[in-house]
Formats: sequence, structure tokens, C-alpha cells
Amino acid sequence: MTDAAPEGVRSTPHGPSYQGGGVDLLLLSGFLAVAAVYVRAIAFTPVEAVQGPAQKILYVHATSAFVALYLAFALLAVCSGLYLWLRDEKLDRVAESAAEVGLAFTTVVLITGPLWGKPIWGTWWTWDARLTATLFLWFLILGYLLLRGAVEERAMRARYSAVLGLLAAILVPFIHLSVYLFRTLHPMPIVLKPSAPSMPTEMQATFFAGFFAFALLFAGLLRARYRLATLRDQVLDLEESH
Amino acid sequence: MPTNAGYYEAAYVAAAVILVGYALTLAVRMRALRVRLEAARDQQDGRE
Repeated sequence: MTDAAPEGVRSTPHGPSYQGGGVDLLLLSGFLAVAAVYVRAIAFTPVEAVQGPAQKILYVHATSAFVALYLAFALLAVCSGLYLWLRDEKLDRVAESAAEVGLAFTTVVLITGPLWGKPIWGTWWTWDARLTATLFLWFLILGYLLLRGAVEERAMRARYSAVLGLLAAILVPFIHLSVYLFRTLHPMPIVLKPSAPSMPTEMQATFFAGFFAFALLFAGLLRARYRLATLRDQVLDLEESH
Repeated sequence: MPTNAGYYEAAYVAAAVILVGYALTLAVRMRALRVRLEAARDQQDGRE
């Protein structure tokens, strides 16, 4: 261990590798922030008059979609592209981590969406452009992770994954624009649009707090997943050296 | 106003279960890797 390494961090050929079993403060902060948003959304945010309490699904559904599409899969695309250029294993590990954490958040989107759709649209699911493209992206990312498990040679796995990661992320702008390009049951954006957000100030505050909280949780999960990938590569190197 | 609170309660519970469950899988996988790392180091030390 180097002198400069903090407790629980060991220097390895892959860079510092976290091995401590202590509390991950960033991850804990993320969960606490999301819990605070839950409390604010449930107890201190007004109920929308037309949709009723089901509208509160917005604070979990849209924020998870924001994290998955515009943080996780954008990071996946950037790191995949940079990996193909620089061939740095760290970039491959960040891409892998972003994909897996993004898949978790997309799962939240795909489960909370139907729970919102049923009381408002009268149906759990409809095969419109946004819903179908999001489901397709979920399968692509699942395929990306399965591909990583199927290829043993590390450089080849990273190269194939980077190409698939880049191709999967192409769906993100398509998903964002799908409500403009197609006739769809899914509503237009209420915040990520050129004009001002279309909701009262109290709801906006909960909504933006949700963005911050879910982004913080994403950062915590991403760092934890990256540490896992670094430690895994370290273990594999040791086992292969025997 | 419609009475549909059950849907948002179910959505909030589902989101919490997925995200906390995912974090727990990370912790379990990390623990398993630490055990493998120690075993690999022990094996390496034995060879040396």
C-alpha cells in the first residue's frame, strides 16, 4: 500500500482499489437524499387536481429516466467512444458501471411508468414510440452486460462492448424526441424543453430536488460499481498469475 | 379528485426495492471478491 493511500484503498496495476468494508458515505448520502424527496413528495407537495395522487409518480419516474438516459447512458457513450480511441481499461470499467447502474434506473422507469399509466391512460402499457424504444434500450443494455460476461479476453470484451454501448446510446436522443416525432400517449416534456417548466412552484421544487437526489444516488452507485470492477480485475490478474 | 393513491405508493415501494436491492447486490459481490482476493494472495504468498 502506498503511503498516500487512504485506509481501505490499495494501489494496484489498475490504480487504487477500494477494499474496505466501511460505510460508503456518498452512497449513503444518495439514499438519504432520495428518502428526503420521498417525504417531501408524499407529505409536503400538493396533489394535482386532475390526475390525483398518482401524479406523484412523476417525482420517481421522470427523475429516474433523467438519470438513466442523460447521465448513465450518456456516460456509457462517452466512455465507450473514448475507450475505442485511448484503449484505457479505466474507461471500459466506467462504461460497464454506467451501463449496469443505468439498467437499474431504467428498470425503475419501466415499472413506475405502467403504474402511472394505468390510472391515467386506462392501460398498463401501449406500444407507442417512447415506451417501445425505452423497452428496446433496456434489452440492449441487458445484452451489453450479457456480452461482457460471455467474452473472456479482456481487450476484445472491452472493444466489442464499447461498440455496442455506443450503438445503444444512439437510442437516447431518439427516445427524447419520440414524443415530438410520433403521435404518442406519453406526454411532452414538462421540464426539459425550451420554454419554462409547466408546473406550480411547489411541484417544481420537489421535481428538481428529485433530480439532485437521484443524481447523487447515481454517483454513489456508479462509484461503488466501479470499485467492484476494479477489484474484480485485480483478483483476476492475481488468479491468472498463479 | 380521483382516488388512486395506491398506484403511487406501489411505484415508490417498487423504486425503493429495486435501488436498495441493487445496492445490496453490489455489497454482496464486493464481499465475495474480497474473499477471492485474500485466497489469491494467500496462494501467492505460499508459492513465494
